[in-house]
Amino acid sequence: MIKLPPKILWLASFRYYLMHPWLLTLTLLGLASGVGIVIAIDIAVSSAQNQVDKTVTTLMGEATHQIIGGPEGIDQSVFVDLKVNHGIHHISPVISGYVYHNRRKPVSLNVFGVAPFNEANFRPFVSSSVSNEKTLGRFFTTPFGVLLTPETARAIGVKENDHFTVFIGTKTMSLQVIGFLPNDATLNNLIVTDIANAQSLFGLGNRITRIDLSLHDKASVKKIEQLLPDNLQLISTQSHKAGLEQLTQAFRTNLRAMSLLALLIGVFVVFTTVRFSVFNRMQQFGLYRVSGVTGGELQRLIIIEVFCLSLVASVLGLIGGALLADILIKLITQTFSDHYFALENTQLDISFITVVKALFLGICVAILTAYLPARQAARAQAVTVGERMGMELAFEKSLRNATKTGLAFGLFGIILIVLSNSLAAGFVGLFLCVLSFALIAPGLFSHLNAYLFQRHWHRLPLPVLMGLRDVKRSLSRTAVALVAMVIALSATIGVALMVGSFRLAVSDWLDNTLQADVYISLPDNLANPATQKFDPRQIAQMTRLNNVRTFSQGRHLYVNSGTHKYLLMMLDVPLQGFKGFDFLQQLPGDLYQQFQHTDTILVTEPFAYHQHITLGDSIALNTASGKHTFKVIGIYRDYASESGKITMSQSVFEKYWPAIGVTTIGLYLKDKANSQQFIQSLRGLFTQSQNISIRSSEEIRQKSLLVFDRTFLITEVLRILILAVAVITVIVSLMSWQLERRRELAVSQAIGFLPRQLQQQLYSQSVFMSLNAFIFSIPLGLFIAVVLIYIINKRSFGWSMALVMEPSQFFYAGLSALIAALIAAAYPAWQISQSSPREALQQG
Amino acid sequence: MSSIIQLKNVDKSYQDANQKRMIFKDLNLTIEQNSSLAIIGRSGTGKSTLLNLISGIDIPDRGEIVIQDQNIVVLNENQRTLYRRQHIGFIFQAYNLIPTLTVAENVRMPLELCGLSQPDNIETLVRAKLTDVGLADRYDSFPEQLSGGEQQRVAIARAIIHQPALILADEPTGNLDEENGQRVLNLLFDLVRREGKTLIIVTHSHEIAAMASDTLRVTELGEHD
Repeated sequence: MIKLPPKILWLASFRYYLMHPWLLTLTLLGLASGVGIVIAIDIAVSSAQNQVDKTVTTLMGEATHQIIGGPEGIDQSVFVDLKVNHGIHHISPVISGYVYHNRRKPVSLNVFGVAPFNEANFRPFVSSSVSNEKTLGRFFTTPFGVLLTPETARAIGVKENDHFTVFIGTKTMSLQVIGFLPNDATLNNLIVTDIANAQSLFGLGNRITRIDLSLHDKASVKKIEQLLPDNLQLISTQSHKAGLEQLTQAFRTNLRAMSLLALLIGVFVVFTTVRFSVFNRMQQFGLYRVSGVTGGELQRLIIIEVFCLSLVASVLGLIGGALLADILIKLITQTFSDHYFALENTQLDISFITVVKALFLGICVAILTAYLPARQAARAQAVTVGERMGMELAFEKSLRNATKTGLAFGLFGIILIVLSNSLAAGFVGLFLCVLSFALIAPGLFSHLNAYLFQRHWHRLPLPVLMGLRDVKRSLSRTAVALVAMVIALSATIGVALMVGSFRLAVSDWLDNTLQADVYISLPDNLANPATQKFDPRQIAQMTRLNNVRTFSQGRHLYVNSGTHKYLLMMLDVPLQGFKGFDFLQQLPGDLYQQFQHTDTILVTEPFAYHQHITLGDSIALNTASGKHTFKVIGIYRDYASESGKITMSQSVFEKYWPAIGVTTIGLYLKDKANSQQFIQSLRGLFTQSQNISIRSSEEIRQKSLLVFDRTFLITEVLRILILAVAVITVIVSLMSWQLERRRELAVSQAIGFLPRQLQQQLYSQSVFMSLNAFIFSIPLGLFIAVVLIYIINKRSFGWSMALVMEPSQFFYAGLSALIAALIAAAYPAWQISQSSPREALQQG
Repeated sequence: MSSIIQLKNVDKSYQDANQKRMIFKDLNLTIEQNSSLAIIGRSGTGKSTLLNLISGIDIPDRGEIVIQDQNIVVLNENQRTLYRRQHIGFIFQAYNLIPTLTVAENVRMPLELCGLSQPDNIETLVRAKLTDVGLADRYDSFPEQLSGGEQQRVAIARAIIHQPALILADEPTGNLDEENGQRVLNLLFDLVRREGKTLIIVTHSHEIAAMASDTLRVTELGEHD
């Protein structure tokens, strides 16, 4: 058992922090902000993911497997055959899709069409909602009668028996509230209706979207597989859930990695404050040692001190993290909804594990950080040991070791980045390289200043000269602040370069892809059965309008391969539109002709990356007439979907699947046509209730970039938070430094320096450190950008892009450094103006 | 009278840049129990080093240091620390009171380190010692509220409260005016007389050295008279 140091030493430590409230505050603030940011991201990301999981789990209920079909759905006779002729009891037909309420500010409602008698084994909430005879009767007999939660009813402003309007594709339908689902948050925005109503809503005829099954042995699974026709597929719900989780994996990993960077900077705050508190009490510790306190007892005393501080900081971090998560969750929910899964009003989900994680993270990080200073304290042998120059000399010596360790870390990091293919290894490698630079930077700083700057210092005003010399002289303190700033600024530069390069790549890609002038599309949801389509007569009307030179048409839908579900873009495109594909790789020959007329496909870069597809490979797909293979003749750049998609010509698609029509038309106008005027004339072809989207390519471009900016908003927020933590480190460093030099400053005042001149000295130190941090952060920032663009982005999303350097991004980083320096020096400078040299001289 | 400290053939040197600086060579010294020894000499001659060797803070390059029949050179760092905790009281020129503890808490610190835990006993002892040094009324004051002389008297109370056999004082009056210095010295030498302690005092002052029962004059290169 660990022997605790005597109580009297605890009392002395406790009072030490009480007598240095700024040190206590900044230590707690530094660590709490690091922990808080990590926990906030953790809570927000997990809450969003949990909401997805809970919703999916609730809707899947007890189903272990699902039968899914092609884009045309499943004939309901398959269900009847399995249940009646083959005696499968735990089976339920389902229709699932989305409708919208309120056209101006659309609220998406998930329609769930079920047969309630089959639901008891799957989703008890359906059976319980129609358990009384009256509701059950109305469920079957009321045309478009629906059940929803009281919360959803409140949100859309309806009561029992009220009618409300929803939009589905170009149709407007009226639904009636016939009863309520249980008050469960995961059921919000869900409307349950009889399967026949759902078939009418989505225009499915006698088809359904899937069949849910509860199968608990391999023999049953095998039996069903043998009974199914070739165009249907049995999948486990586990793999479906895993697929959904994998979809957001890269996004979550990226955010978590960035939040860890904040914690890394928080570590420097703890290191600076603990180190200061140790050195500040070195004489006291020396006395302890002389009085018979062993080195081990002293080390334990410091470690337990830090443990107590970190416990409080972690609790504060947890509270702050929960508050911050409340803000971040809105951004994350928006990104989830934009890219992955329709989510509304995600609830904060703070689990016991999150609390443990916060405490563990804060305490472990702080104790590891405090280990070195604690060991130094334990080595205090006599009252003279704590002399400042001795510490500086020891620090200068340790720089050599730090540089060697840094080089080793850097080498290992680069090996990890280059040799491994995993995203996690990429991040670990990047962290090691950042840490490597952090260890090398102080030594580099010391040498650079000696050779480059110091020669010209004699021309500076005396207070500034004194300030700058002191930065070098007090390297043990300044180096930590410098490193924290370097990391924060380089992260700022690296992320800004990555986002800037990415945005430019997306913008170029949109310019290339949006070859048509005007796009007309049905407001359809990809999750819906592929029943929506333009009336061919409407297409003919649109394409025969004056000023239309040519047109393209297509739709997105899901197809499956037997093991995977793929997004497919069916496309009929003129040669001009085809030229908009930015091919990264393509087979030789006339690609357009091959695409239009042979069993070939194009795939996007992320699709090729994630599915390990190379040019010339073939992909087998379940078509309406069985399994067919399609050859990949081109891999093209695409930033629309991170899981990627297949592009197939409409003529080839209709060879293997029934014609299901198109949902998007692209019109290519004659050269002198005005697209805005054309859009006005086009609107006349449709009635208002058809709710058709007509947009110019420029409008789509703008909206896409808006979604892009919205996606990276959370990154911007994190960048600012990271910089804020770095500013705290500089404040701690300047404050502790100033406190140590209290007597020196008092002597300066006594011999005639004005407080203004001492403040000038402090500001010049802070600005000088930030300037150095900015210079050092440029190479590290570039390195981070290169790794983010060429390694992390590729491994996360499969996207490639070129690094583009905008001078403004460096300018903003420099400006941030300057502002951070001024903020950091403001409080210590104010303290100088308030201090009395008499007290400092008396106390020594 | 029996000896409390014996230094036998002690060598001590320091590495100074690239040069080895010899402080003591073949030093032999015997200090009797219940005596007072003044170590006198110019700055840098090794007076404080000698105190550090006797207290076990530092160890010699060669030789034995026997205190109360225990050769402390053979003890490890931890054992020497525990030995010091029980048997030695230290007084410094700069007082070195813990600024975050009150006068009473500073004084009781060695008792807690030695494992004495009954609060009533501790309080009685602390009050008695503070009364001895004339500071009973400053029980709850913090060090920064005391004058230099008062602080040094608190340091003396702290050095003797756990009844160590040996008291080491490193220029205890160096920061004090004549009147306060004299008061502190009287206290220290009184301890030797009344309580049978052994006092080793490092000083520059010949007057102070004259108050001790014996004097050791340390000169450069570790020679001594």
